[in-house]
This record gives sequence, structure tokens and C-alpha cells, in this order.
Amino acid sequence: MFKKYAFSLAMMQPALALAASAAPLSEADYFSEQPVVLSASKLSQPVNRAPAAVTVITREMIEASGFRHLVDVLRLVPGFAVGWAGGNMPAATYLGLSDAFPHWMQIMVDGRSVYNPAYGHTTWRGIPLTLDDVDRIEVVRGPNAANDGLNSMLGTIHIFTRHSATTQGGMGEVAVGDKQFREITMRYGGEVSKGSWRIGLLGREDERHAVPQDHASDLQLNFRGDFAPTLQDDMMLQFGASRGFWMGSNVGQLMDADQHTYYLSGFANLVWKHALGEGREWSLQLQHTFNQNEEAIPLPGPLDPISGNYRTTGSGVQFTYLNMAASEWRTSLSGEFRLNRVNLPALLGRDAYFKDDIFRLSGAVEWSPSNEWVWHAGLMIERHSDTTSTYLSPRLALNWLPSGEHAFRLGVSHGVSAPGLYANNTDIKLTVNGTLYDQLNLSVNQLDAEKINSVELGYLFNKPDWGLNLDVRVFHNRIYDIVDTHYIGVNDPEYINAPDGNGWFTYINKPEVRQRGLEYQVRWHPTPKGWLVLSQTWLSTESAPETGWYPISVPQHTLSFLAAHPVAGINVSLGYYFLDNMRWFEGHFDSKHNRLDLRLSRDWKTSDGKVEAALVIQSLLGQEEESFKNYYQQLFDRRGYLSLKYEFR
Amino acid sequence: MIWLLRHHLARLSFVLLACSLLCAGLARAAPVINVLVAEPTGIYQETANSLTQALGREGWKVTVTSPGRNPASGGDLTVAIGTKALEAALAQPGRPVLSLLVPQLTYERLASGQQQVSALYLDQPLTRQLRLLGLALPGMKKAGVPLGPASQGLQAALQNAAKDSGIQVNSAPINKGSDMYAVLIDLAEDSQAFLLLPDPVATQRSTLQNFFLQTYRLKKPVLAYSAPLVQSGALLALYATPAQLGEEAAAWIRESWSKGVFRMGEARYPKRFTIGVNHTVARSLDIALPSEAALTRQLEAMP
Repeated sequence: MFKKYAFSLAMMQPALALAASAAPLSEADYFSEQPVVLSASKLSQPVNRAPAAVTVITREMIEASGFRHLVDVLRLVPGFAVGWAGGNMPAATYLGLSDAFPHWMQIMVDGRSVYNPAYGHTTWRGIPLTLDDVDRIEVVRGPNAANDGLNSMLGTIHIFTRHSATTQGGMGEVAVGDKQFREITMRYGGEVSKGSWRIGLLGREDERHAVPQDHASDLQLNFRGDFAPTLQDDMMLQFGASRGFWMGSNVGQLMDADQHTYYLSGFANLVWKHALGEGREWSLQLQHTFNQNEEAIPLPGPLDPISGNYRTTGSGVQFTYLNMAASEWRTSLSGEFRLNRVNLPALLGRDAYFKDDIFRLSGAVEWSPSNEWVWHAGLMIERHSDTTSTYLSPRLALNWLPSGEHAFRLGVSHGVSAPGLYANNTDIKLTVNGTLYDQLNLSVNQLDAEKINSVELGYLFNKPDWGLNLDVRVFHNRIYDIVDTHYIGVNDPEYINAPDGNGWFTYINKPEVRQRGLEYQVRWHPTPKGWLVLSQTWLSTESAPETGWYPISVPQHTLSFLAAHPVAGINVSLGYYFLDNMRWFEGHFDSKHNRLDLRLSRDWKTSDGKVEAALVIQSLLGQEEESFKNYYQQLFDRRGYLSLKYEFR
Repeated sequence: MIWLLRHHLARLSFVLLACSLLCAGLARAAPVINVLVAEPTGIYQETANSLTQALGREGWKVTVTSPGRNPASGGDLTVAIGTKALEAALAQPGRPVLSLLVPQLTYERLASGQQQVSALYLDQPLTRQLRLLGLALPGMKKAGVPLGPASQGLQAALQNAAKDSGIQVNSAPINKGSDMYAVLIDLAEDSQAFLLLPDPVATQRSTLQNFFLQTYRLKKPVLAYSAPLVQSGALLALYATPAQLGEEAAAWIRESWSKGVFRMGEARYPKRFTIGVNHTVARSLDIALPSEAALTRQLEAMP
């Protein structure tokens, strides 16, 4: 009896403590002004009212996929191909048409461009960003130069990291698996007055194709702080660094089995948004990024070795004003100054920084005279000192929403991609004891921008009752003035002879490619915990017979499928990725994926958080040819890893 | 003839006397309402204005005072607008009190055991809130409700409302602001939308920012309880404006005056309401909402 009484008293204690600490409600709780959290500009445009096709990769999808590298997640986007020239050198391209340095997609992390101004591509492995940091990825399919300028000819990948307020407490994860795979991730977040912060650390080692030339290790650190000093102001500061030791080549020139790269990257990003009320706000963004590659490229004697070293910096300041006060009209105006600098002695002929001052001015107007119609007009004006040219990238789009379920979109756009500093200034020599032996490449032409004209028709179906979303797009692209290599023979009447008296390569604006495509993505959420995402793309590509490498670089059919559902307390997800034959430029092998991945996970709640254990098996169907360079055939065969994650608050 | 004139004059004087007596009697019978506002500004004044205008049109005598300035004195009924006003009115027992602009839980705590006290709550009934979710979101079956220390007393009422409305409720306690994130993640697993109830812990400023960020990321719409919260990021809000509460209280006071006394009856929720919609949030979450007018009509038609 006594025991029972004591027990009931103990049960009452928390309730009493709770009642004592509970402040009473008052009318102030109903009427006091609240912070504006989701001002219109912070919200993404609803997909069915956007001027372009947008695919969103959610955190749920990233986790269910079992991918450990950020770039692999793009396999979930219609029309994307991901290849790995080596364990350190992944490349992702939309609609094919690429070598190991894709440069027709702009990639931004929280509004900061991460492309490499030397080659114009993205060094995915060197971005100081873990998958745990990522909140969602929005991929604009189709030209987005009117909005994002530089390199956005085929689209833009916007990666958004999680707000630090949502990652309070700690997290530690250890993952081990086949192919020397080891990874440790740690994160801790805390609160300060009117703000929050997070710091993350990643250490990783793997050997993607199970050969020594693929061995790679990374150490990454990043920080994000969010601060809201007033109800109208919202500030975000990020910085981070990444250090990689990668066997193989990071500049696409593998000459020796012991060749390796030390890669260093760092960045800082400051964004200040100020709400002016009534749907108006301005934002100021300051950013700086640097990349450094240290790589010796040995050559057979008596040739002198060449250096794959490079250093790049990109600094920018951007001011944006948004006005969404009127229900019919929404406008934006943005101005940016950016300075890109590249030091690439072996390929640019001298040990000096090449600079490109970039001025950009862009604006967009959205007019919605009724709920059924939305007109969009956007224009980017961009001037580069490297080419002393001014480029215009306009876009017009019309959305028709005859009902809440159906939406149609018609869009026409013109985009440009400024040639990278490398293509415009290349000067590659082979020397023997410092004396010129062979002039391999030399830029002698003033290159013009690469351009695209695109027409697209989109259809979106949304049926919340069925948990169903469908996004269809048909398009026609004409890509022209493509920068390509051109061989100059001895005594070519159009060119002077090279200093060594032999033939040589230069860059010219020449080829043209026409592409037609149909793609769709279905998202179905039939049960609260079960969902699937299915994407397919069919492409047809034409170019002149002498540039036949363009059509064969395009997969005629791609498919990706990811589904998740819990079974007996275990979260089961299955991913299937199919890529028809494609040959990356300069590749010696076709890539063809037919890959099936399985992820099983289970979590347990603890007093202060949860523990999750996961098993991932990739490439269940066997080997996948995912390499494209001529070093050796690199196969991605079946493999698995186990991970254990503990999150607490 | 003179007799006839005298007779008529006598009748006329009797009628005039009777009228004057009756009018005087009526004047004495009209109640005196003492309105006590927590503060003579803002929502309190708005509610008081609405109430005095409605009663003043019928010649009722209404005086407005605030606790700090003039002590409430006399009157047949004290209308206390706001928590501080209610506390002051209850400190002087002896005459009927009607509470306005005070949440149900707070009213019950303050007025417990008191006689001659009633209230028109500030809150909207939970059943109506859940029904609105059902009307606005087709296929809506379960709502997640984070409950802070102050709102945990609504647990039983929530379950009753769930039965009445046919919308199930998943609730989870939040004992400090930093619990919010984990609670939302848990609730989101089995809820299609969130119902946000007022609570100083659950809805404190820093928490609220996290709350809306997180619900947006989880793609779960929120039904909240005030107009400012719709501006902040809730999809919908169900609430009564101060003007609506003032008018409804005036009607109730008129109905309750009978035979020289007030019989206010049981405290109750307001019949009137306003639905607030954030169309930007609706578009962002790909939710096709019926118009506010249509939702209001449908909700009014429900018992």
C-alpha cells in the first residue's frame, strides 16, 4: 500500500513542476505582433507558377537514396548524368554534351556560386559541404541565364543548407564499408540571443573504383550562423574549408600511377536580408571563394614535367531588391560585381593572375492579372572584362492555370555562357630543359560567348487527394557558337605558324547542336510514410557530321526511380538508375548505368535524441561502367556500407 | 359640454401621468454597465468601442474605466475586457461580471469558484478549428498539435473535439522552446497539418521562427489562432476580432437583461469568427484553398 502511494506521488512531481512553470495565457498571446518568418521572397515560387521547370530534391530523398557524395544525388533529376573520371573527379551534366568539366550549369550553395573560374566546372568533391548540411536542392531545368547569369545556359542547381535553428544539439555519424570507405561526420549547434549557429566536420576516405589511382581522402569544416537582430533583419554568415588528398589527376591529365593532388578550398558567405514591409525587401550578399590545386604532371623524358597547379579566387558583392507588395505585380532588380582571378601557369603560359571583372544587372517582372494567368519577363545584362563584351540573356514565359490541378507553361529564352578564362587565354607548351619543344595549344581568337535559344512547353498536374504530382516538359534547344578545339596545320593560310613550326590546337566558336527532348517526373505519396519518385527523359540530338561527338555524348534515355516505405519498423528504400549509352567528350568508353541500390535503416529513440543504424548496398545488379576517361576502365561494382548515427539535443 | 371637456382633460392628465410614471420607471429599470478595460488603448479600447456603440444605440448607460485610473463603482454589470481587468473586477465581488478578451484556460483559473461571473472566451472552439482544417484541406485526417505547459490543459478538450469533428489529433508536449524541433519531426510523421494553440512557451518568438521554418520544410500547413500569425507564415487562422467580440457581447448582454437583473449563464465560445488566409503560403505549399467566404459559409452551416 505504501509502495503504491509513493509511486503515485513520484508520478505527480513532474506535473506539479510543469504547472508551476507554466506562465498563464493572456490576450497578448493572441494579439502581439509576430516575426515575419516566411516573407514572400523567402518562399520558393510555387512550381506551377514558376517560369521554368524546377525539380526539388528533398532531404527525405537524399537520406533514402543512401548516396554519400553530393553529386550522386543529381541522378534523381530528369536528364542528369553523373560520371566519375576518377575517385576524385566526378562530373554531372544535364542533357549530356560535356567533357569532364561541365560548364553549362551554374551551381550555387546558398546563393554562392561554386564554379571554378579557371575551367568553368565544379570541383564537387572539394566543396566544404556535407549531405547532412543540405536542406534541399532545387534544379532549374532549362536556361536560367536571365536569373543566374554566368554558366546557367542549361539550368541552375541551387543547394540550400539547413537553417542553423533546425540543427540544434549534436550529431555524430560513423560509416564504414567496401572499397576502403570510411567516413565520420560530426555536427554541433547552439543558440545565442536572437540567433543560432552550427559547426560541422567531415573526414572521409574511399577508393571508388577499387584501384589505387582512385584513393581519395577529405577533411572538411564548415560553419553557419543565423542572426535576426530585429524583426526585419535576417543575417547569415557561413565559412568553411576543405582539404583533399586525391590520387590521380584533378585536371584531367593522368600520366603516372603515383600522380596525386593536394586540393584546398575555402569560402566565406554573408547574406543580409532586410524586410521593408508589405512584401518588399532588399538583400546584400558578400562572398569569397578560393581554390588551390597542387599537382605535378610527370612527362616521359626528356620532356620537362608540367604543373597542374592552379589558384583561383572569386569575390562578389550583390544587391537585390524585391517588390511583391501588389498581388498582380512582382518585381526584382539585382546588381552584382564579381572579380574572378585565375593563376594557372602551365596552361595559361605565365605565372600571373588572369582577371575577369564582371558586372551584372538583372531584373524580372511577374504579372498575374488573375489566378489563371502568370506572365514572366526577365533579362540579364552582363559585361566581362576578359572578353570586353556585353551579353544579354532574356526570358519570356507564360503560365496558364485553368484549375488548381492543371497548369501549362510556355517559355522562350536565350542564354549565354561566357568562355572561361582558360579557353580564352590558353598557352600550353612542352619544353625540354626550359626550351620550347612543342606548342600544344594557343588561344589566338577572341572567343565569343556560347549561346542557346530554347523553347519549352510544360505541364504540371497536382492532385493532393491522391498525393500525386506530375511534371512534364518538352523542349527544343539550339546551342550555337560552342567553344571547341580546332587544329591548325602547318602553313594554314588563316593562321600564323606556331613558334615551334608544328601544328597546334586553338579554340574557336564553331559547332552548333540541336536537341529535342521529353522528360517527366512523377511524385506519388500514397500513404503518409510511403512515397516514390520516378523520372524519365528521352533526347534526340543533331549536329554537323564533322562534330559527331556531340550526339554520342547524349544518352537517348535516362530513368531514375526512388521509393521508400517502412516494413516492420525498418525503413526500406530502393533506388534504380538507368542511363543509356553516352560517351563523354574525350572519353574512350561508353558509360551505361543499370544500377539498383537498397537502403535499410532503423532508428531508436533515446532519452535525448535518437540512434539510427543503416545498411546500404549499391549496384546490386552488378558492375556499372561509370568512368569515361582513357586511363583504364573504372568499374563501379557491388558494394555496401554500414552507418551508425546518433543525434541528440 | 364643460363636463365633457373636463372629463377629457382628466383622462389626458391621467394618461400623461401614467406615461411619465412609466417612462420614469423604465429609466430607472435600464441597467448601468461598467466597462473595465485592462488598458484604455488598442484591442481593449476597440472592444469597448464596439460594445458601447451597440448598447448606446438603445439608450443604455455605459461607462468605461480602467483599473489603474478609476476604481469600478456601481453599475448592474461589470464587463471586464482583458485579463488585468478581470482580475480587478473579481477583486470587488458583489455584482455580475462578464469577461471579454480572456482565453478560456486563464478565465477558468481566475474565476474558479466565483459566483455571478461569465465569459465570452477569446479562443475559438477546438471543434471549429479542426473542422476548418477538414474543410480547407481535402483528405485531412490527422492534425499534429504541439502543446506547451500552458496549453496542456486542453488535452481532454482536444480529444473531445477530435470526436466531434472527425479529425484525429496527435499531440505532444513541449516543455521548453528548444523541444519544438524534435516534437515537430515526430508529429509530422503522422500528421497532415499542424494546429497551433497559444502558449507562452510553445509560441515564444524564437521558437515561432523555428516552428514556421520547420513546418514549411516539412510541407505541413499550419492553422493558427491570430491574424499576426497568418502574416508570419501560418496557412490559416481562425479568430474573432475585437469588434466581433464587442458586438457579440452586446447582443448577449441585451438578451441576458430580464426583470432588472442579469442572468448571463454559462461562459461560452464566441459564435462569430474570422478566417485569415496566407495565399503566398498556400501557393508555396501547392494547396488550392477555397475562398475565405466559402470557408466561412461552410463553417457557419456546421452545428
